[in-house]
Amino acid sequence: MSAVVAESLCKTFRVRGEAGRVHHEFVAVDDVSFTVARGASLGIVGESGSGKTTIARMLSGLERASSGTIAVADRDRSTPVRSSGERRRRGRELQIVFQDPYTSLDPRQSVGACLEEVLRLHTQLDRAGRRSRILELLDSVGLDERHASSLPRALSGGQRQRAAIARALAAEPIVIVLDEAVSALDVSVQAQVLNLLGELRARTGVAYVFISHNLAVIRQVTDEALVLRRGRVVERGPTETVLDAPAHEYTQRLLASVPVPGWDPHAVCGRAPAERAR
Amino acid sequence: MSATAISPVAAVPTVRRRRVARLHARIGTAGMVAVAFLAVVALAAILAPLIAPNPNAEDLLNITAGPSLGHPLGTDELGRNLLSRLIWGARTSLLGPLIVIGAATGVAVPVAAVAGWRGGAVDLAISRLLDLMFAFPGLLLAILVVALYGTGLVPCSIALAISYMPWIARVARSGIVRERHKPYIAAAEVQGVSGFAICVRHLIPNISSIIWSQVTISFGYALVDLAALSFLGLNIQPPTSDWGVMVNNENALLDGHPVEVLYPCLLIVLCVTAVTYVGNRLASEEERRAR
Repeated sequence: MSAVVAESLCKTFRVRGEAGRVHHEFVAVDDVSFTVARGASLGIVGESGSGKTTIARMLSGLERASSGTIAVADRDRSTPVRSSGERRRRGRELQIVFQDPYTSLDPRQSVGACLEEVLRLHTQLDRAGRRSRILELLDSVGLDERHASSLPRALSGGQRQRAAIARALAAEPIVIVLDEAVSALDVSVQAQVLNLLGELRARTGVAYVFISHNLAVIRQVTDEALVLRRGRVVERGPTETVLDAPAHEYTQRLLASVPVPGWDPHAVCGRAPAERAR
Repeated sequence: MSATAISPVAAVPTVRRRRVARLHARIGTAGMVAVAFLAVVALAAILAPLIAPNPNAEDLLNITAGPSLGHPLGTDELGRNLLSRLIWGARTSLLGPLIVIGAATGVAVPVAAVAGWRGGAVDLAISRLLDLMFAFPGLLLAILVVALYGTGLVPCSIALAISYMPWIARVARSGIVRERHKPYIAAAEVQGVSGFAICVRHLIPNISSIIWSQVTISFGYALVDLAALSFLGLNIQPPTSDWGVMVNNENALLDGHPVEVLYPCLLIVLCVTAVTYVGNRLASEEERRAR
């Protein structure tokens, strides 16, 4: 049984021109298909505007696909929800962690209250049961009971992102979509959160759809990778292969764009330094 | 630390203490003075039966008297205790705006939440409807309602509430639209929280400070409008004491005893200034944070 099956996903945005008329159509995602096995981790890489986030939004139901289907745990979620039961069920199947840890938590809700809300919604636990589960969740993401009563503003970026991960885990989903989930964190914190994500997957068997523009991050947490360019998949395969022996010219350029010692940005741009100086 | 520390209930006292400090940080010392003044007036109004003698008791031997021990602010042209009338008058003068603002906010916030949450055609329809309501002057509507249903506090307050509703709704809607697309709302949607619960638990609490600032400013306007309606003889009827009724006492002016008109005027000005000041501070603070 697969965790996620996405088939020929397309998303077209209508861009309004002057006077509110439809100016032109912008294809954000064009015929993207992929499968994520249970407990697997798929990386989706690409530059800004390549359609990564649109895929995340379609998977989580925040955006409707223009065409194509999405199934999570073999249940279709391409159509809008019809009942509150179905809405909750989808919540138990797939969760999302966003990029910006500063806006992804309700500023007025303590971390404990935030987790409590999710547990109330998805579990039959009583007060005491929820309390111990909150402690367990906090513990699993490296926070403790002191953080439960803190408001998000009292936490650092890394702690907030841990809290957001705990919230995503609370419903015990089959898949978690991580949309640039570590991109806003500084490098040392990023490494801690990535380690945590690896541990959590090993322990709970949750599957990840990991969206990032950062190739090093993709290498660390995913088994398979998709390379996206202008909404289309240009390359796919095991992460190692894609990153070590890229077949597509775009992937090669993406890899060449990562600064390393002796790196020459002009070579990546395909322009000679002399030409630029002129 | 015991396990109770994580319960949201146990977190309440610290939150409340923080709230007072936060209010002070937002509205400043002058704002806190204004709040204290309003609290004293409100308390006097609530405790009127305990602290103030009958405001309609006439002491015909002591008309238009100056301040004395029995009548700290003197008496009016019928020998009625002015301080007592002011205190009793505070009841209707403050109750009216409370009804206006309570009813207006009670309708405006849900309307704004529906518009902001649903967006699209629903938002467009509600927004245009509010625009239509803006075109109708509140006092005119009140006069119309009084003509249909008779004078009194309730018809006047309801008429004003209808005309105040769009102002509050517009502000609340813009706040909700701003908040609506933040990731924490999306996260709640993905969790499977219902739209209603998201609005009640997340969206509305997070725009509460802009609602509060609009409400306090509107309160000041409502107080003046209701006093104006009393002055016109459409709201509270004499001999019931009300600041607006007391201002409308032309006999006092003719008798050369203007203090009995000046006191209620002063109270109206002070209350409106205090409420508006607090509201403005809240609004500008909100604007500063939004940047």
